[in-house]
Amino acid sequence: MEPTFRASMNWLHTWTGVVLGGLLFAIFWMGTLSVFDREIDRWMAPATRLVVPDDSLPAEKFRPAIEAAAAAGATMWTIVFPEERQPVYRENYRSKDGFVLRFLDPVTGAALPDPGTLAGTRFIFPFHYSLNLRVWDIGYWLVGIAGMAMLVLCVSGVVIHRKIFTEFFTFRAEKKPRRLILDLHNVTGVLGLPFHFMISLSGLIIFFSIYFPSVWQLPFDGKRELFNRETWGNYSRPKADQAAPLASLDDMVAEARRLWAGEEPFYMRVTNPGDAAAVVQIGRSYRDVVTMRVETLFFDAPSGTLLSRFETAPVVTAQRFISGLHFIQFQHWTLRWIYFALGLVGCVLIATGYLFWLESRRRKHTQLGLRGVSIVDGLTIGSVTGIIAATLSFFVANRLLPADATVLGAGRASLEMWVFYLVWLATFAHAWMRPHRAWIEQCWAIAALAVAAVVLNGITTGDHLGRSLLDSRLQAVGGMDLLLLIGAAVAALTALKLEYRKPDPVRARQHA
Amino acid sequence: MRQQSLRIVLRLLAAIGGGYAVAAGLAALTAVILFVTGGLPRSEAVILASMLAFIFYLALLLWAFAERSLLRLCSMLVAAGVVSWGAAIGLMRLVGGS
Repeated sequence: MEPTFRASMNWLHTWTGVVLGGLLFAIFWMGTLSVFDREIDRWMAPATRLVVPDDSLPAEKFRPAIEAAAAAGATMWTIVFPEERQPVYRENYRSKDGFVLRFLDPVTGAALPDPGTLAGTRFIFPFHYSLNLRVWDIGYWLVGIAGMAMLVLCVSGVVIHRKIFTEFFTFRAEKKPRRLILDLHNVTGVLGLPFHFMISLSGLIIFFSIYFPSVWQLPFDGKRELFNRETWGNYSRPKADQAAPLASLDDMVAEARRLWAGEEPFYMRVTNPGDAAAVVQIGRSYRDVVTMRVETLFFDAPSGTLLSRFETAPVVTAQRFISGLHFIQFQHWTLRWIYFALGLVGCVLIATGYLFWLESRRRKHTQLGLRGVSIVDGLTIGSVTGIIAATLSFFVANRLLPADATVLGAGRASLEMWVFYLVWLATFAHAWMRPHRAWIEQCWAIAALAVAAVVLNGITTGDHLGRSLLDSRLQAVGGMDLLLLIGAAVAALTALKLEYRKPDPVRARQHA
Repeated sequence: MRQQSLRIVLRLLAAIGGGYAVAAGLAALTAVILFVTGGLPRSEAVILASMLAFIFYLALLLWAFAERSLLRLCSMLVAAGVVSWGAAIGLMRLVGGS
């Protein structure tokens, strides 16, 4: 649309970034935290700070639970087995009274008390891919738009900056702030480019059936059931409406281990429990491979004989590999930290993009009396420091709310979320009301909240750093406390630096 | 000024909406061709084409903002949309639906 390709890409890069940067930052921030979602779970649900024993419980132990679920009218009962990062059994089914989710002790199999929090895996992680807006899949679509925008930004960014190799080594810390911000944007952009492109594309590919439904609907004549069966091997058969007892679950699990050369099951599901046509489904674990493989065994529940064995075909397996690159469900601590670091690099990239836009227009907009800069200023502050402060408030609220807290009918877990959303909204209001102080004040708020979270964790659970760093059971808790303290230090240093920087005449005039 | 904003709105609609429709059409056509010619089983063809759809959309988005003539952009998108969707649906009909 502009005279040259490069100018067009510049226009596209600028506008995509300014319009969608806030949304992108939220997704990157929550995605970065999701790398450690289960560690956040341990921190926020102290009753689950447990260790998985070497010997797993016999599957027969769950027979009473399955019978109870069947009596409650459940047509499907599922249990996910514990692993190092998630040391509890997760049992779920949908009864006549609604959805039931319980966490079970890995040693005794007894139900743990309701944690009263959605924590990492049920708030932060779904926020990352759905913004927790489930109506009409709006959240998924917004995240999809942001994902496509990130791909557009990656390509157009490369086109604008032709001197990629030089810019890899260019960081002029002694130069003016605007030059420094651009250098930081370029360095993080170039350094993180392969990761950012891969993570955005793989994120989109995970939800291909939501984003491009017509592609499967046309060849499958709109029959989702058929598509799922051919692709993911969903086996099902109608209910017999005749009661029949369940055969030995231990035998079925042993058979699964034998067929998978000793590898462990990941979950077990009973469909139509108690019925003569009930099916026991066992899925293979993928904790040692990148591919989130779909390898499933289906047993006839009354007899325990194998009905069907499913493994994905090559292209579907490739899709599961790409999904695995995004989800990193495999056990690899070094890579996990690299993902975390590159996620933060992405956050810096987006934030510096905004700052560069602001700094290069501040003078002109002030002279012409345009409002663009002050609007984007507030948007940036709320999107960057605001969501960080809101997340930390979520952690602090988690340690302060009593177990039986209710306000206006909302339970503890909902109250934590309300704290998050209200604080986030408040940071935008604060940013537009006190533009010249907002960065500094929100940095101080982040530092204070992070320290408060660490102190409160120590007081309310007794697992303070002196203890958690020495106990392998509390690794996740100690790690999170340490990161919170590092974050607090960075925020406090930033606040000090901003407080004592040389006064900028344009800024001063703008806010006069 | 007014005309310029109208042109930008039109271009955004063409790029985001039109680009999406064409990307979906090209992907559907890819899936149907792979499946109908017996190159791949149906579910495999669908997944491969679905993954390619994002690349098609990315290329179309970039092109939509680089193309200087708005008229040419819109007419190419309409043509590509009609051809890809027409061919995909036609081929499915030819082999007798599902």
